[in-house]
Amino acid sequence: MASSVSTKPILASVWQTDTLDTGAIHDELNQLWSQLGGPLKGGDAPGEMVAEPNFGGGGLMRANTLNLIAVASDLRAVTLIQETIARLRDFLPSRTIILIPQDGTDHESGMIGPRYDVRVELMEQVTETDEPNLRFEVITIGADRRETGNLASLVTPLLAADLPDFLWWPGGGFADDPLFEDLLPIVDRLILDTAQLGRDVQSISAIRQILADESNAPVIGDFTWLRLEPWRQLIAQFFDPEDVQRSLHTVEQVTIHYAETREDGSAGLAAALLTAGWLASRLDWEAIDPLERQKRGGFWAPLRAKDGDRGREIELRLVPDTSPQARFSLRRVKIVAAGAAPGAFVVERTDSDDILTSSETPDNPEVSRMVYSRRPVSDEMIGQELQRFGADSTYEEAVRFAVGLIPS
Amino acid sequence: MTETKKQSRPTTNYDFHTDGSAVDADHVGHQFDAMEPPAEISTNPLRGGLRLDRAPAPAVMVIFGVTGDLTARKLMPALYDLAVGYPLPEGFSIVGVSRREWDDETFRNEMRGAVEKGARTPVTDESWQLFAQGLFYVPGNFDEESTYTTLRERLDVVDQERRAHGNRLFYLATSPDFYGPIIQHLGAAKIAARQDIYWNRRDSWSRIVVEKPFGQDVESARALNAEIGAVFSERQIYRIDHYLGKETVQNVLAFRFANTLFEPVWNRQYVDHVQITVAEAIGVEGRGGYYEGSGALRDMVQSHILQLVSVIAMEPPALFNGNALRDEKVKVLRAVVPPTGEQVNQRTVRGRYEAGHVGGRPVPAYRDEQEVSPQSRTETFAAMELNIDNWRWAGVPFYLRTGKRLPRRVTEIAIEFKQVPHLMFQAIGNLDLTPNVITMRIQPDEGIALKFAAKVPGPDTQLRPVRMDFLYGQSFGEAGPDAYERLLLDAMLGDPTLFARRDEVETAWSVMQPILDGWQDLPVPIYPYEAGTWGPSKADSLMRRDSRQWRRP
Repeated sequence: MASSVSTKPILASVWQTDTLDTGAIHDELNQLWSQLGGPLKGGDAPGEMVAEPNFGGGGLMRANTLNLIAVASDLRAVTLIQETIARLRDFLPSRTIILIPQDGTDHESGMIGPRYDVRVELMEQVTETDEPNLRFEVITIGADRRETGNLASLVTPLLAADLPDFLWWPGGGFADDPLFEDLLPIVDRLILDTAQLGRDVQSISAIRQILADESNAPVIGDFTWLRLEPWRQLIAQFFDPEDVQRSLHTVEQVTIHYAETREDGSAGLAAALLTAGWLASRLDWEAIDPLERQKRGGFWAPLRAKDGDRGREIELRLVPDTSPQARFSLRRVKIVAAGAAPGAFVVERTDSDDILTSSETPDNPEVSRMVYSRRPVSDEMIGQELQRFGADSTYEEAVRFAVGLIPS
Repeated sequence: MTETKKQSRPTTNYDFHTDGSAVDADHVGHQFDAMEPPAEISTNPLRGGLRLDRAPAPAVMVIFGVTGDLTARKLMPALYDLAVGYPLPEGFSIVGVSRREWDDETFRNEMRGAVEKGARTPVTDESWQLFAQGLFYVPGNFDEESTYTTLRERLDVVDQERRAHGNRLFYLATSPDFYGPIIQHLGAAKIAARQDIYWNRRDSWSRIVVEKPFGQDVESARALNAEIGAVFSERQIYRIDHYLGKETVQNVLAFRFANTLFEPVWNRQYVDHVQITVAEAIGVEGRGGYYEGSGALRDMVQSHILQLVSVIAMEPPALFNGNALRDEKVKVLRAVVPPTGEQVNQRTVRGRYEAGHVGGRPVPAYRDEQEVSPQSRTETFAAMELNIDNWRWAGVPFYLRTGKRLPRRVTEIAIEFKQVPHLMFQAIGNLDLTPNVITMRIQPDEGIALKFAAKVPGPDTQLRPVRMDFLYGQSFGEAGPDAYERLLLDAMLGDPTLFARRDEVETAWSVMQPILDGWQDLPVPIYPYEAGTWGPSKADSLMRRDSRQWRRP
């Protein structure tokens, strides 16, 4: 069982200023670290200078992994980022820089306030095990929206050297945001959640713009794609036996049920599109026509498998789940094969912890099973994303196909 | 088609034991990597880009000795985690075989308790019900033909109902005494089919997982291998040493061969010596009967510690696959020069714990443990110096030690480097420099530490050794899957990389045999040590003789 972890700020310094000097932030951080330095004790060998039991003072260790820039475009995002950072357990950034563009006017007095609110903190993660406590830095900069254009230039000197740089943009509205445009070139990896792009099918094409510049595009990590990992695993698993793989060449219908709107304003449409894009790109299908909105909701599109002389048509249905119980971005995926290798393959989320799979072909009796697949929360997902460095070409191909389905 | 292949079969397909006797390479598994694709490559186009890019085929796992401790503590929790965590396919089934008169229902109920206790994944009624549908039990004695008749009939039904396609993974979780009878009956009842080089991989497969001990000495190991080899080809045999399933042992390979920094200094030119410590705080824990026939050398050194020696000392394999990796491990083991004759007295130490305190608790002497003879001559501690006669390691001693009832549980490998050839600070005087040390901690607090010299801040030049630590837990969060989980999945995938090969096991025994013989034939004393200490003081003199000392892990 996982050991319990708690993270809390142990030292902090807060100030407001009209002119932000990044050197002052470095000085403040050094000051905070020096306040924590405990007396060093001897190590194994005579005269060995090692903190007890690990260096850093008093059983502590300093994370030395990566820089994370997180942008809170609204108050909900501020809370999400702060809570997520506090709950992180899998992979701690050495330094997190939280940027909060905010209204600089004091609403009570009507006075224009200082341009920057700065908070520099040392956080400490404590576990119940005898492992050393881990400390890391969080720099929060609230900037008057008038200063948004300067923020990227402030961030660059604050990034710890020789470490990978991640940008986490938890909100949906990054398209055409100047801060997003400024930060994108300085990071190695972008983490976003396409579910936050909502149920407007057009808005999802925003991701295409990021991928368009192949030479400069950062590697993208997408929470929605991460949530789809068990779905993709389970769908792929149906077709591991070679005799069942033949059904991949006779698929005639793919139906994907998704949540129209979730409680937090996100939607399952992006997940549905990515699933369709993944299947199509892996199985070498092409779109005959873009998605067509259906009167009863959802979308329909004809696809074509490129095998055979004339190809084979595949019907793609994206069906919104508008019931009050629609809590999951994806509810159900059903793949129906016919012809020489018929079969039905279903993956369905039954609750927040479990997914049910079932499959049947003429040669194989129906078998169902329940797999444990708890819906990941934000700190688990960011923890996983922070451990990934390489590009995911499967994701990029899925996105390109999905975006190609969107009507112009 | 088969005929054509047979005609082209190599005629010089032999490998050799360290004593020079030939081994049929079909048993050893050499050469096959170049002849056919690895088993784990999937032809499923949907597998590309997935985190689990390998997937085992549907199969039935047959566990002999399923009512035992190993199944409850390790196997069943790992299998549940694999099945419910979805690396295993739908229809994966387990047939347990044991002497107790259980039925399917009893078996399922018993296993639920074990899984609830040991699995990482939560157990709910619904998830358990679907998992338990694939659990079946066959009662019977391992040496009776009727058991295997019933088993074969049951497997046929399970194959049909659960679409296992005839794929079978046999697991011997019994006392080693039963390995022979079980294997012979599996062959005689045609439950297991021999699959040699001509086996069509589209056909169903059968594999067997064998738990250590793989024999008691060279002869018994060869006899056991011959017995298994009479029914299964080497490619079907998976000898499990759970140490190799540990993430941190695999990380030794990553550390050495995925970084350019360390390999250039990983040799006799820079390394002074290597220390490997496998310490246990526990005693025999109710397994006195087993331990009496085993002892520290057979239980730990021949298996786990020599595995660590081989991954530390081997040359870089060209590929990370079954035979490339194991070829290099075997090569190193063949270069190990064990002490022989009188050297055994000088270069090995054995000990036995007396009463003492461990972790603040009083503990009895070994000879007072249950099922242990008061006149026992079994060692609970072993330390030795081995040398590896090859270009990389000639002249670099490897000091190994293991023991029970030591102060704490720790497994670590320490590479101690030579002093710098010239110390320009010498004129300053009062310098207390210790050499660079790379320490790989296998358990607990898995990680890597580097000790190096640094200048103490100030106007005068004072140098002190400092340590730079990398802790797995702090960099990658929670630990990965249990070693058994990893190894069971590999066995189902047909990936033998992390399993011991026949020649590897026999060579390891060859290394230990002169020591076993020496301990038996010579008057080598068993030195007593107080429980809770780092072994007998004689072990310290083993290193002091070379002007070295054991690390305090």
